[in-house]
Amino acid sequence: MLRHALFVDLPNFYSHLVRCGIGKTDMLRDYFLSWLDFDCLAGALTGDFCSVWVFHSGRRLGPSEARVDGNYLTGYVDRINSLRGITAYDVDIEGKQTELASYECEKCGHKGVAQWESEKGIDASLTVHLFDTTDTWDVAYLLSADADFVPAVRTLRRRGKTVLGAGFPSPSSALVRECYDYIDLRAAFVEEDVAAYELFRQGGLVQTWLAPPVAAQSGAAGPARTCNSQQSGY
Amino acid sequence: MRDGPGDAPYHRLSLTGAGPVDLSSREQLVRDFHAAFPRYVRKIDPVRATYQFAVSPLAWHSVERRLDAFGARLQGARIETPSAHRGRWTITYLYDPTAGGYVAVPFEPLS
Repeated sequence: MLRHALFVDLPNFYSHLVRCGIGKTDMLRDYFLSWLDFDCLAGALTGDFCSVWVFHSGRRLGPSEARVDGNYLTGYVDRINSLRGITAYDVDIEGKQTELASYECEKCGHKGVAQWESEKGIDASLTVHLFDTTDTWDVAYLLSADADFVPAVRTLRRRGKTVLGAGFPSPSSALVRECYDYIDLRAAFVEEDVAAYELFRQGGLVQTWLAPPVAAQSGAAGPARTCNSQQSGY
Repeated sequence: MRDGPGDAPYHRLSLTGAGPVDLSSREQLVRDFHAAFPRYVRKIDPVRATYQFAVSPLAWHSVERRLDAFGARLQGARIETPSAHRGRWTITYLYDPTAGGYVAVPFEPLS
Protein backbone atom coordinates (compact mmCIF):
# COMPACT_ATOMS: atom_id res chain seq x y z
CA MET A 1 0.00 0.00 0.00
CA LEU A 2 1.44 3.33 -1.03
CA ARG A 3 1.89 5.99 1.59
CA HIS A 4 1.00 9.55 0.65
CA ALA A 5 1.96 12.98 1.95
CA LEU A 6 1.07 16.53 0.94
CA PHE A 7 3.47 19.44 1.02
CA VAL A 8 1.96 22.89 0.59
CA ASP A 9 3.84 26.04 -0.36
CA LEU A 10 1.07 28.21 1.06
CA PRO A 11 2.02 31.66 -0.35
CA ASN A 12 2.41 30.20 -3.82
CA PHE A 13 -0.78 28.15 -3.55
CA TYR A 14 -2.85 31.07 -2.26
CA SER A 15 -1.58 33.56 -4.83
CA HIS A 16 -2.56 31.24 -7.66
CA LEU A 17 -5.88 30.34 -6.06
CA VAL A 18 -7.18 33.91 -5.82
CA ARG A 19 -6.25 34.48 -9.46
CA CYS A 20 -7.48 31.18 -10.88
CA GLY A 21 -10.61 32.72 -12.37
CA ILE A 22 -13.28 30.62 -10.65
CA GLY A 23 -14.73 33.71 -9.01
CA LYS A 24 -13.98 37.17 -7.72
CA THR A 25 -10.80 37.67 -5.74
CA ASP A 26 -12.50 38.60 -2.47
CA MET A 27 -14.83 35.60 -2.69
CA LEU A 28 -11.90 33.26 -3.24
CA ARG A 29 -10.03 34.88 -0.33
CA ASP A 30 -13.00 34.26 1.96
CA TYR A 31 -13.34 30.71 0.64
CA PHE A 32 -9.70 30.07 1.40
CA LEU A 33 -9.90 31.54 4.90
CA SER A 34 -13.13 29.97 6.06
CA TRP A 35 -13.85 26.90 3.97
CA LEU A 36 -10.98 25.23 2.12
CA ASP A 37 -9.86 22.29 4.27
CA PHE A 38 -6.56 20.76 3.27
CA ASP A 39 -7.49 17.41 4.78
CA CYS A 40 -10.47 17.24 2.40
CA LEU A 41 -8.24 18.29 -0.47
CA ALA A 42 -5.75 15.61 0.51
CA GLY A 43 -8.52 13.03 0.61
CA ALA A 44 -9.69 14.08 -2.84
CA LEU A 45 -6.19 13.75 -4.27
CA THR A 46 -5.07 10.57 -2.54
CA GLY A 47 -8.31 8.79 -1.73
CA ASP A 48 -6.97 8.28 1.77
CA PHE A 49 -5.93 10.10 4.91
CA CYS A 50 -2.39 11.40 4.91
CA SER A 51 -0.10 13.90 6.56
CA VAL A 52 -0.30 17.44 5.24
CA TRP A 53 2.59 19.82 5.85
CA VAL A 54 1.87 23.48 5.22
CA PHE A 55 4.67 26.01 4.99
CA HIS A 56 4.00 29.71 5.26
CA SER A 57 5.41 33.01 6.36
CA GLY A 58 3.88 34.40 9.51
CA ARG A 59 3.97 37.89 8.03
CA ARG A 60 1.49 37.85 5.18
CA LEU A 61 -0.05 35.90 2.33
CA GLY A 62 -1.10 36.81 -1.15
CA PRO A 63 -1.11 39.71 -3.56
CA SER A 64 -2.07 43.20 -2.40
CA GLU A 65 -5.68 42.88 -3.60
CA ALA A 66 -6.18 39.75 -1.49
CA ARG A 67 -3.64 40.24 1.26
CA VAL A 68 -4.03 38.15 4.41
CA ASP A 69 -2.01 39.21 7.42
CA GLY A 70 -2.24 40.04 11.11
CA ASN A 71 -5.07 38.47 13.06
CA TYR A 72 -6.65 37.05 9.90
CA LEU A 73 -3.52 35.07 9.15
CA THR A 74 -3.19 33.96 12.77
CA GLY A 75 -6.80 32.84 12.83
CA TYR A 76 -6.41 31.00 9.57
CA VAL A 77 -3.33 29.14 10.73
CA ASP A 78 -5.12 28.18 13.95
CA ARG A 79 -8.00 26.83 11.89
CA ILE A 80 -5.95 24.63 9.60
CA ASN A 81 -3.82 23.39 12.48
CA SER A 82 -7.01 22.10 14.09
CA LEU A 83 -7.79 19.94 11.07
CA ARG A 84 -6.92 16.26 11.11
CA GLY A 85 -3.42 15.43 9.92
CA ILE A 86 -2.38 18.99 9.16
CA THR A 87 0.61 20.82 10.57
CA ALA A 88 1.39 24.37 9.55
CA TYR A 89 4.90 25.71 9.94
CA ASP A 90 5.74 29.38 10.17
CA VAL A 91 9.16 29.35 8.56
CA ASP A 92 9.71 33.07 8.65
CA ILE A 93 13.24 33.97 9.59
CA GLU A 94 13.96 37.11 11.55
CA GLY A 95 15.34 40.09 9.76
CA LYS A 96 14.64 41.63 6.39
CA GLN A 97 15.68 40.26 3.06
CA THR A 98 15.33 42.59 0.13
CA GLU A 99 15.67 41.72 -3.50
CA LEU A 100 15.94 43.83 -6.61
CA ALA A 101 13.16 43.62 -9.15
CA SER A 102 12.71 45.45 -12.41
CA TYR A 103 9.36 47.01 -13.24
CA GLU A 104 7.60 48.85 -16.01
CA CYS A 105 4.74 51.23 -15.30
CA GLU A 106 1.57 50.12 -17.08
CA LYS A 107 0.44 53.72 -17.55
CA CYS A 108 3.53 55.68 -18.54
CA GLY A 109 5.90 52.89 -19.55
CA HIS A 110 8.61 54.06 -17.17
CA LYS A 111 11.12 51.34 -16.43
CA GLY A 112 13.13 51.06 -13.27
CA VAL A 113 14.49 48.85 -10.55
CA ALA A 114 12.98 48.62 -7.08
CA GLN A 115 13.73 46.80 -3.88
CA TRP A 116 11.05 44.60 -2.38
CA GLU A 117 10.96 42.61 0.80
CA SER A 118 10.90 38.93 -0.06
CA GLU A 119 9.79 35.92 1.89
CA LYS A 120 12.55 33.82 3.27
CA GLY A 121 12.82 30.19 4.02
CA ILE A 122 9.66 28.64 2.61
CA ASP A 123 11.19 26.88 -0.38
CA ALA A 124 14.26 25.77 1.55
CA SER A 125 12.28 24.62 4.59
CA LEU A 126 9.82 22.67 2.49
CA THR A 127 12.64 21.03 0.54
CA VAL A 128 14.45 20.02 3.73
CA HIS A 129 11.20 18.59 5.09
CA LEU A 130 10.63 16.62 1.89
CA PHE A 131 14.00 14.92 2.36
CA ASP A 132 13.63 14.56 6.15
CA THR A 133 10.40 12.62 5.74
CA THR A 134 11.21 10.36 2.80
CA ASP A 135 10.98 7.31 5.06
CA THR A 136 7.32 8.06 5.75
CA TRP A 137 5.92 8.41 2.23
CA ASP A 138 6.05 6.82 -1.19
CA VAL A 139 4.08 9.43 -3.09
CA ALA A 140 4.39 13.15 -2.39
CA TYR A 141 2.00 15.79 -3.65
CA LEU A 142 3.74 19.12 -3.98
CA LEU A 143 1.26 21.99 -4.02
CA SER A 144 3.33 24.67 -5.66
CA ALA A 145 4.01 26.07 -9.11
CA ASP A 146 7.49 27.26 -8.14
CA ALA A 147 10.44 26.22 -10.32
CA ASP A 148 12.72 26.42 -7.27
CA PHE A 149 11.56 22.90 -6.41
CA VAL A 150 12.84 21.38 -9.66
CA PRO A 151 16.21 20.17 -8.28
CA ALA A 152 14.56 18.60 -5.23
CA VAL A 153 11.94 16.81 -7.32
CA ARG A 154 14.58 15.57 -9.73
CA THR A 155 16.69 14.13 -6.92
CA LEU A 156 13.74 12.50 -5.16
CA ARG A 157 12.64 10.81 -8.36
CA ARG A 158 16.18 9.53 -8.90
CA ARG A 159 15.83 7.92 -5.48
CA GLY A 160 12.69 6.10 -6.55
CA LYS A 161 10.13 8.44 -5.04
CA THR A 162 7.03 9.58 -6.88
CA VAL A 163 6.43 13.31 -6.71
CA LEU A 164 3.27 14.77 -8.20
CA GLY A 165 2.83 18.47 -8.68
CA ALA A 166 -0.58 19.98 -8.02
CA GLY A 167 -1.77 23.50 -8.57
CA PHE A 168 -3.49 25.89 -10.89
CA PRO A 169 -2.95 26.56 -14.58
CA SER A 170 0.33 28.15 -15.65
CA PRO A 171 2.79 26.39 -13.37
CA SER A 172 6.50 26.37 -14.10
CA SER A 173 7.03 24.23 -17.20
CA ALA A 174 10.26 22.91 -15.71
CA LEU A 175 8.39 21.74 -12.60
CA VAL A 176 5.72 20.05 -14.72
CA ARG A 177 8.45 18.26 -16.66
CA GLU A 178 10.19 16.98 -13.53
CA CYS A 179 7.08 15.87 -11.66
CA TYR A 180 5.64 12.42 -12.30
CA ASP A 181 2.39 14.17 -13.15
CA TYR A 182 0.87 17.59 -12.64
CA ILE A 183 -2.70 17.77 -11.33
CA ASP A 184 -4.93 20.71 -12.16
CA LEU A 185 -6.48 21.42 -8.76
CA ARG A 186 -9.17 23.59 -10.24
CA ALA A 187 -10.61 20.67 -12.19
CA ALA A 188 -9.77 18.03 -9.59
CA PHE A 189 -11.26 19.67 -6.51
CA VAL A 190 -11.39 23.44 -6.12
CA GLU A 191 -14.21 24.28 -8.53
CA GLU A 192 -16.48 21.70 -6.90
CA ASP A 193 -15.51 22.90 -3.45
CA VAL A 194 -16.09 26.57 -4.29
CA ALA A 195 -19.53 25.70 -5.71
CA ALA A 196 -20.42 23.95 -2.44
CA TYR A 197 -19.08 26.95 -0.51
CA GLU A 198 -21.28 29.33 -2.49
CA LEU A 199 -24.29 27.21 -1.61
CA PHE A 200 -23.63 26.66 2.09
CA ARG A 201 -21.45 29.53 3.28
CA GLN A 202 -22.73 32.09 5.74
CA GLY A 203 -24.96 34.36 3.69
CA GLY A 204 -24.78 31.93 0.76
CA LEU A 205 -27.49 30.78 -1.58
CA VAL A 206 -29.24 28.27 0.69
CA GLN A 207 -29.24 30.50 3.76
CA THR A 208 -30.49 33.45 1.72
CA TRP A 209 -33.21 31.30 0.18
CA LEU A 210 -34.54 30.36 3.58
CA ALA A 211 -33.96 33.55 5.51
CA PRO A 212 -36.06 36.72 5.68
CA PRO A 213 -37.03 39.09 4.24
CA VAL A 214 -39.92 37.52 2.40
CA ALA A 215 -42.21 39.82 0.47
CA ALA A 216 -45.65 38.98 -0.85
CA GLN A 217 -46.20 38.95 -4.56
CA SER A 218 -48.25 41.91 -5.70
CA GLY A 219 -51.93 41.23 -5.25
CA ALA A 220 -51.31 38.14 -3.20
CA ALA A 221 -52.97 37.58 0.09
CA GLY A 222 -53.28 34.82 2.63
CA PRO A 223 -51.58 33.86 5.79
CA ALA A 224 -49.53 30.69 5.88
CA ARG A 225 -46.66 30.42 3.42
CA THR A 226 -43.63 28.26 3.38
CA CYS A 227 -40.24 28.41 1.86
CA ASN A 228 -38.19 25.34 2.34
CA SER A 229 -35.00 23.65 1.40
CA GLN A 230 -33.97 20.11 1.61
CA GLN A 231 -30.71 18.39 1.13
CA SER A 232 -30.33 14.73 0.73
CA GLY A 233 -27.68 12.30 -0.35
CA TYR A 234 -28.36 9.44 -2.69
CA MET B 1 -18.17 15.83 -13.57
CA ARG B 2 -17.38 12.32 -12.38
CA ASP B 3 -20.59 10.47 -13.00
CA GLY B 4 -19.15 7.28 -14.37
CA PRO B 5 -19.67 3.75 -13.17
CA GLY B 6 -18.18 3.16 -9.74
CA ASP B 7 -18.00 6.85 -8.90
CA ALA B 8 -19.63 8.04 -5.72
CA PRO B 9 -22.99 9.67 -6.43
CA TYR B 10 -23.47 13.39 -6.24
CA HIS B 11 -25.48 14.81 -3.38
CA ARG B 12 -28.68 16.47 -4.42
CA LEU B 13 -29.84 19.75 -2.96
CA SER B 14 -33.35 20.99 -3.59
CA LEU B 15 -34.66 24.46 -2.90
CA THR B 16 -38.40 24.92 -3.02
CA GLY B 17 -40.93 27.56 -2.15
CA ALA B 18 -44.69 27.60 -1.76
CA GLY B 19 -47.32 30.25 -1.42
CA PRO B 20 -47.60 33.77 -2.79
CA VAL B 21 -44.22 34.92 -1.61
CA ASP B 22 -42.03 36.94 -3.91
CA LEU B 23 -39.06 34.75 -4.81
CA SER B 24 -37.69 36.97 -7.58
CA SER B 25 -34.61 38.11 -5.67
CA ARG B 26 -33.92 34.53 -4.63
CA GLU B 27 -34.36 33.27 -8.17
CA GLN B 28 -31.85 35.87 -9.30
CA LEU B 29 -29.33 34.32 -6.89
CA VAL B 30 -29.96 30.94 -8.50
CA ARG B 31 -29.40 32.43 -11.95
CA ASP B 32 -26.16 34.05 -10.75
CA PHE B 33 -25.01 30.72 -9.35
CA HIS B 34 -25.97 28.97 -12.58
CA ALA B 35 -23.94 31.48 -14.59
CA ALA B 36 -20.88 30.82 -12.44
CA PHE B 37 -21.26 27.07 -11.88
CA PRO B 38 -23.52 25.63 -14.60
CA ARG B 39 -22.34 22.06 -14.02
CA TYR B 40 -23.77 22.03 -10.52
CA VAL B 41 -27.31 23.13 -11.35
CA ARG B 42 -29.55 20.26 -12.30
CA LYS B 43 -32.98 21.83 -12.50
CA ILE B 44 -34.48 25.29 -12.74
CA ASP B 45 -38.26 25.44 -12.61
CA PRO B 46 -39.56 28.91 -11.69
CA VAL B 47 -43.16 27.81 -12.25
CA ARG B 48 -43.00 25.26 -9.46
CA ALA B 49 -40.37 27.25 -7.56
CA THR B 50 -38.12 24.21 -7.57
CA TYR B 51 -34.38 24.30 -8.04
CA GLN B 52 -31.98 21.41 -7.79
CA PHE B 53 -28.24 21.45 -7.38
CA ALA B 54 -25.54 18.81 -7.33
CA VAL B 55 -22.79 18.75 -4.73
CA SER B 56 -19.89 16.49 -5.54
CA PRO B 57 -18.99 13.75 -3.07
CA LEU B 58 -15.50 15.25 -2.83
CA ALA B 59 -16.87 18.62 -1.75
CA TRP B 60 -19.52 17.11 0.49
CA HIS B 61 -17.01 16.36 3.26
CA SER B 62 -16.48 20.10 3.75
CA VAL B 63 -20.23 20.69 3.81
CA GLU B 64 -20.99 17.84 6.17
CA ARG B 65 -18.68 19.03 8.92
CA ARG B 66 -20.35 22.46 8.82
CA LEU B 67 -24.00 21.35 8.77
CA ASP B 68 -24.54 21.94 12.49
CA ALA B 69 -23.27 25.50 12.25
CA PHE B 70 -25.31 25.99 9.09
CA GLY B 71 -28.49 24.82 10.79
CA ALA B 72 -27.83 27.02 13.81
CA ARG B 73 -27.85 30.10 11.58
CA LEU B 74 -31.34 29.30 10.31
CA GLN B 75 -33.30 30.75 13.17
CA GLY B 76 -36.89 29.64 13.07
CA ALA B 77 -36.15 26.66 10.91
CA ARG B 78 -37.46 23.22 11.51
CA ILE B 79 -34.44 20.98 11.09
CA GLU B 80 -34.63 17.29 10.42
CA THR B 81 -31.51 15.20 10.07
CA PRO B 82 -32.58 11.58 9.62
CA SER B 83 -29.01 10.55 8.87
CA ALA B 84 -25.58 11.95 8.34
CA HIS B 85 -26.26 12.11 4.62
CA ARG B 86 -29.74 13.56 4.61
CA GLY B 87 -31.11 16.77 5.98
CA ARG B 88 -34.12 18.98 5.65
CA TRP B 89 -34.62 22.53 6.72
CA THR B 90 -38.01 24.20 6.55
CA ILE B 91 -39.01 27.71 7.45
CA THR B 92 -42.62 28.83 7.56
CA TYR B 93 -43.47 32.47 7.15
CA LEU B 94 -46.73 33.96 8.35
CA TYR B 95 -48.14 37.32 7.41
CA ASP B 96 -48.02 39.64 10.41
CA PRO B 97 -50.36 42.63 9.97
CA THR B 98 -48.61 44.48 12.77
CA ALA B 99 -45.22 44.14 11.12
CA GLY B 100 -46.78 44.66 7.70
CA GLY B 101 -44.97 41.68 6.21
CA TYR B 102 -44.05 38.06 6.51
CA VAL B 103 -42.13 36.89 9.56
CA ALA B 104 -40.53 33.54 10.24
CA VAL B 105 -42.49 31.38 12.65
CA PRO B 106 -40.21 29.61 15.11
CA PHE B 107 -40.67 25.89 15.00
CA GLU B 108 -42.06 24.46 18.20
CA PRO B 109 -42.09 20.69 18.48
CA LEU B 110 -45.31 19.08 19.66
CA SER B 111 -45.18 18.26 23.34
